[in-house]
Amino acid sequence: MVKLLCICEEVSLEEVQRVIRDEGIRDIETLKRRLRLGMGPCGGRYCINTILRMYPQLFGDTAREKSDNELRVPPSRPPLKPVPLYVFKER
Amino acid sequence: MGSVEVAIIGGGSTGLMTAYYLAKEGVKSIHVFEEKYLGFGSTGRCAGGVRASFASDVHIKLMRESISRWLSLREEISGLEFVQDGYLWLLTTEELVEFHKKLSAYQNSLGIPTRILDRDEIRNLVPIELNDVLSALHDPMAGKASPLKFLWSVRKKLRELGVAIHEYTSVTDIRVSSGRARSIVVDNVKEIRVGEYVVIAAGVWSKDLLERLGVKVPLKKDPHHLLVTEKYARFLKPLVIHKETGSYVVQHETGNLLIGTEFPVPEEDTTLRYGYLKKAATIMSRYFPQILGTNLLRVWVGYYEVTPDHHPIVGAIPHTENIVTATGFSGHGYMMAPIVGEELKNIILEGRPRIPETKELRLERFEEGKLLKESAVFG
Repeated sequence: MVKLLCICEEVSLEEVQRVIRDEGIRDIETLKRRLRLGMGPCGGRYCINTILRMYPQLFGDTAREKSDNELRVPPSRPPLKPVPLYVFKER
Repeated sequence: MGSVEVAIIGGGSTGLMTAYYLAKEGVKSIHVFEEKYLGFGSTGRCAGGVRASFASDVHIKLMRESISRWLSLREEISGLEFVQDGYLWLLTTEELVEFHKKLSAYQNSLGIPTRILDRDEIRNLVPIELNDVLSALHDPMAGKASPLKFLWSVRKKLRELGVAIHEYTSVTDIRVSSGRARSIVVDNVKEIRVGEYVVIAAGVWSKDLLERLGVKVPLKKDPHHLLVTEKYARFLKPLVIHKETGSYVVQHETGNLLIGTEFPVPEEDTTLRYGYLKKAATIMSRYFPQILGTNLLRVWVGYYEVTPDHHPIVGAIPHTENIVTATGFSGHGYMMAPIVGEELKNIILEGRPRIPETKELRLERFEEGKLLKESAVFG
């Protein structure tokens, strides 16, 4: 069974573990741009939280290297929820 | 890491491409230093357009070479995406049409196959409501390259080639004695000796580092907005520009639409403006009403690092032997990164660039008052 970590962009837990291991990714910002995790309609409100909860388990020892004690959570960019473009159209 | 041979400051497209071409030549001990994550500065915020249809000799010749590198990179680097779907400039006034006829003839003379399309030809190319469009300039040689795919694919390739990438590592000083960079200081505390070269490719932040070396650079931080929509079925192949307002839309292979528009704000002001969203949605939906139903996902601001003549600065720092820079791309750094990276490699390994036009990008031109000319800067 595939465990989806990011439902919007269909990113599996297995893929996340693979790129962390094979590509030496050690922060959420890079992980996000690598797999588009958190870049879909939910804006990361589900998957980024899951990643944060699983942080030690996912990043393990690499996370503790140097001064990696801050988690570097990606900023949430506006809008809070998807808004259709017609809302902004001037009449 | 007590010493390195080549220290590249800046983990954006320019720094990464420089590392790539050096590593391909077998150079060892290449270290890339990035203050945040790769692409944080400008690369990860740009729309990913690539074109040689400029209005200056220097830009056209360098971009012609850069496009040929983009085509090779696509083969050399797994995951890197470059789609040659062209650019389409919508022209809505008689003046613009006249100017672009001349521009196209000029571009043709330099080997860029642009052409003026009439309304029927435009309709055959894109699903558009023409409204006031009189004609368009089409550049079939141009294309789009997803910046995010570029970043991860090049990162992966560099690691395979043995390049060290130091993320979240800020270079705070370059120590120079007798005209030679001897070391760099990272995170204010750690000194690292540099054996061969220092490359400053830190986008708008290059200015601070150069000023520490006593070098004045006329760089301005010019904030530009960009928005992205959800993924939709692909309907738009070329990047389309509404020339009159400097607005553009591009749909990448993922299906997301990126829409930008000229929306002047004060220098260094990165506040998000509602007015930008209004302008972008209003203008582009006039021609592509389909986009009105699409959902806005995110909006952000990124910097153009602008020089007085809208041309970059590429080459050696005056009065130093082993420091080079590439900055001031005025909104074109990403598309130029492959050729600029290769030329910095040539300067480092051979002492000079291979393309004559690169020499014109030297920093000294501003002091000497020999500015280059360009009239096609937009968005």
